[in-house]
Amino acid sequence: MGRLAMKKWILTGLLMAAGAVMASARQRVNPDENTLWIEDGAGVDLSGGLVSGRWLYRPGDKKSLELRPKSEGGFSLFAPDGNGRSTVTRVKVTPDYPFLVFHITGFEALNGYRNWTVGTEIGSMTTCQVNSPQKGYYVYDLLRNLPEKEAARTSAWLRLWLYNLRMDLEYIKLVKQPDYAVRAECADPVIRPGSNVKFVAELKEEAEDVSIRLMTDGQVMPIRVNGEMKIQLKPVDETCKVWTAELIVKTLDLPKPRSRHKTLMKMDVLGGELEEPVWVGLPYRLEP
Amino acid sequence: MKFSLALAALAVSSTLFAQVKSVESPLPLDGKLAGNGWESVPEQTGFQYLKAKGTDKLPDVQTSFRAAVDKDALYVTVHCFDPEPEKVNTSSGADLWVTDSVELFLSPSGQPDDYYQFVTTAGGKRCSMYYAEAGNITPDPYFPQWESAAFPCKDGYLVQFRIPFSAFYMTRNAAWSSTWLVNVVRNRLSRPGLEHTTWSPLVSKFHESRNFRKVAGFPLRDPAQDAAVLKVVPSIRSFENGVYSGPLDLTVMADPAAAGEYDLQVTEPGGKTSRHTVTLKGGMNTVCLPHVEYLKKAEGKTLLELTLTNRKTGVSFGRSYPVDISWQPVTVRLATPSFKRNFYPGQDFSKIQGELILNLSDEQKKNAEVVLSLAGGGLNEAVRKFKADSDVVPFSFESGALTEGGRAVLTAKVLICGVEAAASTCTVTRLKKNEGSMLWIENGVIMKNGKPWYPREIYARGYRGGRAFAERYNADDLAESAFRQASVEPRRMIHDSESKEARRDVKPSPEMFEAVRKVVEANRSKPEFDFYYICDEPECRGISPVYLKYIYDFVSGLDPYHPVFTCTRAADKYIDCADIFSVHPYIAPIENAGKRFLTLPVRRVRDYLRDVTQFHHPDKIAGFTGQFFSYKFNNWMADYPTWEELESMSWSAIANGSRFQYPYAYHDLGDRPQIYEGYRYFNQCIQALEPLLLSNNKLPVQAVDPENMIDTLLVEADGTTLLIVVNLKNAPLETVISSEHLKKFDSLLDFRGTGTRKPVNGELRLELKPYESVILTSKKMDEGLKTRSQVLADVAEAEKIRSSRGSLLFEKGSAFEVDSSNPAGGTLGTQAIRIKMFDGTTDMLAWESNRWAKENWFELDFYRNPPKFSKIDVYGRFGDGLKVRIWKFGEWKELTPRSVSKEKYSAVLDFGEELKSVKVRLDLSPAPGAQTVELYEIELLK
Repeated sequence: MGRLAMKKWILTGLLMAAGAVMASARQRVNPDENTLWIEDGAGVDLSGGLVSGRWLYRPGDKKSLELRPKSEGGFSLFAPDGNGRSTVTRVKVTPDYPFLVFHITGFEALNGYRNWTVGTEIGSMTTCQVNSPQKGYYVYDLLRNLPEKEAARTSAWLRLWLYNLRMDLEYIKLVKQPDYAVRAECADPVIRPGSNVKFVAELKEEAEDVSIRLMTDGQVMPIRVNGEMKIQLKPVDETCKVWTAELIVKTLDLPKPRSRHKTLMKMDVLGGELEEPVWVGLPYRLEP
Repeated sequence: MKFSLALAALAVSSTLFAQVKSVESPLPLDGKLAGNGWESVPEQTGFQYLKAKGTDKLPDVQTSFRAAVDKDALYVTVHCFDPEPEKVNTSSGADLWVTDSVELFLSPSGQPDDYYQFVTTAGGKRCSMYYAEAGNITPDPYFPQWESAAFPCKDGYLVQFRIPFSAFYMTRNAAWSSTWLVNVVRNRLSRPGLEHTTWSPLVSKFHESRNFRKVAGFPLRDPAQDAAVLKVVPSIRSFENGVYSGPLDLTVMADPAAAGEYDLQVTEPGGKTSRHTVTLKGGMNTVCLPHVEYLKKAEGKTLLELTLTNRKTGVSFGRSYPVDISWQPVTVRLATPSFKRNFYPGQDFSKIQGELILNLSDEQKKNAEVVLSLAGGGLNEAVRKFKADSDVVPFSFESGALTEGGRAVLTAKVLICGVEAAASTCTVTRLKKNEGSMLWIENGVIMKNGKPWYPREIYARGYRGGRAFAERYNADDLAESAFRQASVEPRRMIHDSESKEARRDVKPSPEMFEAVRKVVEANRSKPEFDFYYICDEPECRGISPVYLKYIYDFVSGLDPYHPVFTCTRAADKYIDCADIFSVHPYIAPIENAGKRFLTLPVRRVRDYLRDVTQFHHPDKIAGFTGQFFSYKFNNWMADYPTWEELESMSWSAIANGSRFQYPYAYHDLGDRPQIYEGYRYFNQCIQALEPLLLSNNKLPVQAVDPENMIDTLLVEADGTTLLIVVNLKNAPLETVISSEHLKKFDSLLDFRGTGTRKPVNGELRLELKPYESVILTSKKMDEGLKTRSQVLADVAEAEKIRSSRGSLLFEKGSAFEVDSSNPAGGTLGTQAIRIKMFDGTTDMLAWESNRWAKENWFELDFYRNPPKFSKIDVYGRFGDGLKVRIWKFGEWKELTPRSVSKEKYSAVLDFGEELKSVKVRLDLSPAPGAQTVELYEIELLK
């Protein structure tokens, strides 16, 4: 493939996006030191034009997804059908703000196939849940285990798809550090039997107990590690804000490999300030 | 191609890999890559091995391809490089799957659930397939109109494709995407070192559609091309001078934009071609071509080519369809005996009666005669001769002399101008008394040892209910009429038989027949045995009806005394594979955000029953496997059916001919009072009304029903009349029911009610509540039964008890986590545990320990603000010594209860003080004599 042809592709893609935009909503940039941008419904704006930080919406298009602010804060996405409606936005990215975070606060399920999907071209990341979606905080380290070149970009497309669902979010944002997350550390970008994996959870507030379960995205199913569904973390000190677990993987209860971010670490923080689990994308490929 | 560069190019979608080239005019399939438009089409390469091969090394022998589209078609050229081009197998006779070839995998919907496969060898041999359910099933004999050609070249060979968008006729435009899933694979199999390579990264097989790459830029298909010939069925009425002829029935789907008048050309390869004019409307069309001729040049099925060309726009679409061109000039259809052509002990065997179905042309009829003969089994030969002047000829033979165990042979011969043109033979057997039980179907009624029978049983009896519920269930009178069954399901006979043979239209292996034989021989003489279960939901796994029919015939031959049944949603497809079809239209309620809906409306229940009853086979039974459970085990928003939903769907099934009650399932039966009492209620109703529900004296009845939302049944037996009226809508409906028969009555009794209804001159006005069923009888038929109102009061009382037990955890299982020594828990999964353990039902299995576990524990994990409690009620089957621990200051602390009250299936621990912890853990041991711990409910109480 020649470089010239590639440039044509880029141009084609941009023109397609440009031609399609009729209305948009704007995200807020740098609302605080930890946040590069945030969409929390406060800045929704339906004016037209292709502007970085706005969500694509084409009224009347049966595959277009509208983002609407909620009066109590946050915003809603509503797909009244199974057309595979989606919205896309161009967002700023920098290596200093690697975490994509969103908080799903509610759903209304409609008849038919139900799915929410979030995807970005950074590392070809997509994450989704089907049939029975789950509320909670979702955290993805977009850059972990990506080549440096891929991590050095300054902007990226972010896309949301919805099928037969209304989904309520408090926010979606890109941050330096998430308030709640668990980090997996492994020397190799692939976790497989024999891998040594350390899990580290750094919390804002102290907690009485922290554990994680590996779950599939899509149809949410548990993945047993070494025959166990739960990985128990222990506090590193009396502050009970940093919790860790380290294990050597002997078995992964998987029928086939799962690519990066297609496995979620469901973190249950007990006795902290959370009332919901935190779902953290595992930025490693899993191979049974 | 470098992956990162490709990604950079894909601005619109995050997972896009490539963009298909758009061209203005068609590209030629001429084996050239320059000077003809192909040179401007970008090339893709980077083919790799399947990951299962265990190497990251790229193949030494590479492949590339170019893909382009115009407004009507996809064009692909695959360039297969080969350092030894002379060794490429370019023979057109080479076996498709063991030679050099390329395969395209395409999903125009962009979804991995359905996709198309196009294969062409280096010798130009080719095939096409369409897959649904992510490759599990092939619902269409896929023969689209497409082109491909293979060309040797100096550095290998080229394969070129032109696939019109109309070839993707199994995908409607509504599902069509501009981004497709695409893969190209290459097989290099004609030399040692067999090699399979793929463009999309795949793990172990080519059908991993989820891993196909995304390619953008496909145009939407012209809606005028969104049409498909979905079914083609010839009826051969005559065979004269080497020509078969008769009507041809087509089922054609057309987008409204594709509606119009068409020229239809029907071509038999190597045979006849005919042209017709047809008119299509938007939607599904049934088209009958009254006269089509064939030479039947093909062996086996004939691949008819059908091409439709719009007379106004010139847009055309078409396909080929495999059909049987077989002339059966005479078919014997027996009325007596009917079921498997046997007289069963106790049945009147004095006459063999039926009809001859003749398929003769008018010309043939003029000179045709049918000779029907019966002989054997102790009967003197009897011969009847008929003039073949109509299509249906009734016949009757005296057969009172047929000996017990005797088998008579009935032969029908068609003579044209005195020469035998065709013959049909069947046997009729007068069966001896079986050593064990004897069941058969007579006039649409299951007969058990000579008596009519309406079986009633819960599906999966004993499965995952737990000991306490088993005691309740076994001690209770649920008005069941249970049956014994043995499975001859292929996958239960030989575990991998579905993938190896059962999904193909083939005869089962000798091993399969042998395994089935053993099951039949082990059961056919048992006095308590009733049915063979041939397959569970065969349509869901693409089990071939041809394959199943072999097993059905084999079982029926070995044991004619026990009918074969199946549970299916596609009874029409498997109608020749079983005798009893329990259909299961699950309504799947969803309750969410204050709204409730049914995934499958109640009005659809009847469609499933009609898949069986439409055939009017007196030797087939339609049954009902209704939803008496919840999908909560995999969906938080799922709910159990309400009483009204249960009523409406159950009475609808009965009104539409169900004679086999087999609701699903035991493992949820005790979960909610309306499910348990509903099961009893309908069993009682069927039992009380059984003679009426099994009566074939159905009477004409009309309903004012502009919305087609009302089901009715008017039937009489033994001088008693039953009227069933069902509102299938979740809204009030007014209707007038009228019938000549109703003129006999000025009053009808509410079945299981206390009131009466007053027809006036055969008309009954009804104001139906949402989902209401009105069941009326001319005589009292509900003696000794509770009224519906009493049952509903009982249900309400039980529901009140269930929902007001005071547990702090009641129906909050989704708001906290649980953990245990057996996380899978012996039920339907982790979510089922969290639902059932905190639902107020204290005797249904929610969790079960491992049989040989050294420790048995169950833990509650609370996120924030854990509940404050002073008592724990634990329901289950466990031994003494229940311990409760809570998590305090980073370690477990065992609680000492102030009092313990232990019953057979429960323990109440009162700690006498308020407690609070983010983790509460129960340590348990099996009850004496038990191998596992069962838990039904955990309650924390203030």
